Amino acid sequence: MKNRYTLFFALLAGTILILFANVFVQNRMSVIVKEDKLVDENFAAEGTPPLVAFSTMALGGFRGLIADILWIRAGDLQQKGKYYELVQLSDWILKLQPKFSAAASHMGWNMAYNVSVACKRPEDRWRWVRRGIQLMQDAVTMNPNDPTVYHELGWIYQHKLGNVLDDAQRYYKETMARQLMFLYGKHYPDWEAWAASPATEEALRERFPADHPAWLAIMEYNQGDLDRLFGEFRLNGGLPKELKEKLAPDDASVLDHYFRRKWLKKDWNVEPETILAVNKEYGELDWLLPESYAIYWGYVGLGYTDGRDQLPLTRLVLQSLVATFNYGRMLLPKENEVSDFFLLVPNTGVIDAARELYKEVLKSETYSHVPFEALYENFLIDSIVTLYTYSQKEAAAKLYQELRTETKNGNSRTMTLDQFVLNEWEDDLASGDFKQIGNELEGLLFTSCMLIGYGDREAAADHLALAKRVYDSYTRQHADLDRVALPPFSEMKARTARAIIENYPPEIANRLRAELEEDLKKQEQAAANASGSVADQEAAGQ
Amino acid sequence: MTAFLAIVKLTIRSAVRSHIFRLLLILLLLSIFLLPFTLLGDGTPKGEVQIFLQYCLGFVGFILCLSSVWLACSEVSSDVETAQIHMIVVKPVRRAVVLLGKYTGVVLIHLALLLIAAVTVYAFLSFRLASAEMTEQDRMMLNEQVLTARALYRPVRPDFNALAQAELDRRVASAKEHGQDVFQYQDDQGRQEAFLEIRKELIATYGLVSEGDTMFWQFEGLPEDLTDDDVVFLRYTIYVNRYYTQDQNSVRGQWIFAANYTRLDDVGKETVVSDQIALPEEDILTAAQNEMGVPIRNSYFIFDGKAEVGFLNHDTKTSELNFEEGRGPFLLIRETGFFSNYCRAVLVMAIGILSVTLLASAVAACMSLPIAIFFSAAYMLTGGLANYLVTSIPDVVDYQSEYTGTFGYRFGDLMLNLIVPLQDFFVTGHLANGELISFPFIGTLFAKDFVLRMLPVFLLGAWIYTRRELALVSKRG
Repeated sequence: MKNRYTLFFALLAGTILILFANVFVQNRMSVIVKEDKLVDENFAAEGTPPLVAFSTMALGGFRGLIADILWIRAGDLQQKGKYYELVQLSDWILKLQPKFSAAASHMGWNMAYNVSVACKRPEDRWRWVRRGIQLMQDAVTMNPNDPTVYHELGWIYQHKLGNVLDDAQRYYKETMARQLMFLYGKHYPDWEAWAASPATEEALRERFPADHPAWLAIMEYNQGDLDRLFGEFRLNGGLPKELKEKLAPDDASVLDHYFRRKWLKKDWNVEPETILAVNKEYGELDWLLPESYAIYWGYVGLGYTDGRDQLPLTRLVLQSLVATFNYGRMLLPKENEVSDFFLLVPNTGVIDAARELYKEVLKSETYSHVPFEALYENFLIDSIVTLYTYSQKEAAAKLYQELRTETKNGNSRTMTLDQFVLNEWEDDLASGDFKQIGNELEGLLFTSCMLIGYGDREAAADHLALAKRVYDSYTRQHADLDRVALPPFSEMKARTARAIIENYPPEIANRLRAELEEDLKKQEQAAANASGSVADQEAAGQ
Repeated sequence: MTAFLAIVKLTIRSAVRSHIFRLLLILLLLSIFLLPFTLLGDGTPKGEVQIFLQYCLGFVGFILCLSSVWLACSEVSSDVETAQIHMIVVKPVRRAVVLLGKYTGVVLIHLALLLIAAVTVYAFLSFRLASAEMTEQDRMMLNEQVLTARALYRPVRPDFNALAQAELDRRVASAKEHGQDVFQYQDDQGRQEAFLEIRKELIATYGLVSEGDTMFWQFEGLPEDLTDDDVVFLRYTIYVNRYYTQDQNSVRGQWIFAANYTRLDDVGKETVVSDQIALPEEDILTAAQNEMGVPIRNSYFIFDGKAEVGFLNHDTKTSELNFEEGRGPFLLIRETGFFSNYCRAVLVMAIGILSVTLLASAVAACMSLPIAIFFSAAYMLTGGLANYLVTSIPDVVDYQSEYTGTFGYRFGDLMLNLIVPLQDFFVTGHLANGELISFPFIGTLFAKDFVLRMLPVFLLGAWIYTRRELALVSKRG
């Protein structure tokens, strides 16, 4: 009997001891969970999405099995070329396995890349790309601590939408810009005002208490039904006229920004506060363009790296910054109205940020295995040429100095800036045949004429000057070869301008016609003379 | 008859009182009224309708099947376990009538639910279609490809055995002619091995079209009463190499259609003129299901119930283009309207409910409630897996010449012959793709699954039920 009691108390003491020890282990585990962000802050703050919570609780371990079956079905249907179920299946898989970020990334990528190109019409392609993005946005919401998801989402923006690899890439850019312009209300929104507006319905109600004139106006309009008002707002792209008239301008502005930021969050999962932070970090971006969104997701993702998976995100931001520098500003024929005649021109405002990031990367040991030095040198060379071509000779000179002093082969560069830029163009052209050079020249002339059409005379003049120098250089080199002789420069210029006038909207055409009236008349005269002389010759021949 | 009807009535009343049945009923209502609002299609009107049909009707069928299994098991076995059966069997009613009455009660309540659900889903679809805004092109695509019932015609499959035999004979003759050794063909085993090898090769290369080559497919049994206004569709999927490779891209090719027509010759005699009409070369996306209307007159294209379609590979970038067997080319010809097809799909689901209830009643007649439910669920799951086994093996191996493939195929085939795969009754995929659910198909399904496979199981269950010592079960309980 005694032995039995001894054993019982020994076991009891052991159990208590273990439970007590567990307190320390649990505390340590809680610290690790918090430090390593093993629990999603958003989930903790806002609660798990209802469907995810339901599937987790109701299906238990079976949800993995169901997700597997859905995965197999999705693959099977895709092989058969039947895609209509794919969105639904992907959504369910994500809800069943919200933490399986690799599966979500694969599904998002699959829709944006594989399925989209199986469609012929650009609008169908865009639909699939957008579905892929939306799925990745959901994956980001469910895995906010996972840097790889941010990279995958940013990559779709940068590579699929921003790059020129897809036949429908121009349609993607236009449609994205069109949708965003409708959402923003104008090309360059006041992000500070957006960020200062109420972020939640509770905050809005605090701003507009029950006795506030704005709230009374909303009550009068639709009994205070904000959801219905939001629906109308999305439909019209702004507040209903009837309500707007009853609101004080400041209150209307607050309400307008509240709805727009809600819309932005709902459709694109983007916060104006973060946009402000990105603009501050990298320079003012054009938020109609996919590269800006790639930078956004790269920036947010970098905040969760803690040394893990930093390289892909850094590279994403860097590549997107370089792309933004080259084509990061959208010129539109009409202000605040997107059309398919948009022109992408450099956004030189991000040059310092890109340089700083390059320098940071070059200093960091994390990236020592990546040949960033050569990339940096190429970036500097391209930037100098671009800045020079776009009337920023001072900035170009500064960069040229940096190229000479801070890069490996810098000392060997003894040319002046003018010589250097022309030399770069000539290098590009030296290897090209007659046709390629003609195309390059036409490209320069086209950009010059388009810049006139969009009202940027200074940049247009610089492009024209550069085109002339390249033209002169080429004709000097091939003066003795008639078969590869280019037409007169003025004729090339007038021909390009005429093509734009005939094919582009009146806003662009009129500006261009007014600016180049003289040249066009001369070209018409020359053409008339040429046809006249041919007719004379024919008549003489007869 | 009075006793039978009384049992039917009692079963329906008891079913309505069951908590699980009520839960399943709520799920059914959710799948009709809530599911359509949560479904995500591909964004096109066609895709939205397809996914609506696929999932709403699919869920309805699935829940009704579950519910019928549960109720049949519960109604039959719980009476035995709770000894209430003694109240019935002491009356002048045969046990087989009791079982049949319970079966009929369960079936009737589920058929009524199916009817209500089907009408509601159809009304909901009609409302959505009437209120949806879509372009003329989208509406045309929807009407031509989904809201229709097109019969699918497959090309005539080559007789691989005859082709392999002919090739073998040719090789033997050629070897003899050139004085080569033919020892490997001398005994039966050698000839059989060579035959199988050739056959395997023929199957593996069937559907491959090299650059510059043309492949033709023959179709037979096509309707001859089509007018020139009827549209015949060609559905096909092209792959670069095999479908699972990563080489998929846009390729270049050209479709060719055989045209036959009669013409009076110089002496006034009718002669058949055969011609070919080639479409211009085009870029075609691979690994995507493509569909186009056949661009020539039906009276020229379909001659004597036959038609011929060819494809000329112009693609210089890829080695071979592949038309996987089972993925086209197919011809699709409208046979009837969507409503008729919808009713047929519902009819197939009704046969499913009849069959599943038959199984569950038979099992419950011999077993306790949990075991009966487990057995029925396991039966349905095994049926599903067997179907997968049988359909996936020919994709991977030539099952007639590989031992493991043969074993897997034969085993799956045996199970499929013994077990009814539940998915046979889910034809919503056909409905969503605008494919005809033909009466011969429904008749075969009914005869094969209900009469030949489920009915004997039910009769066996009924026989055991009549012989079963029910008092012992009650005592144990």
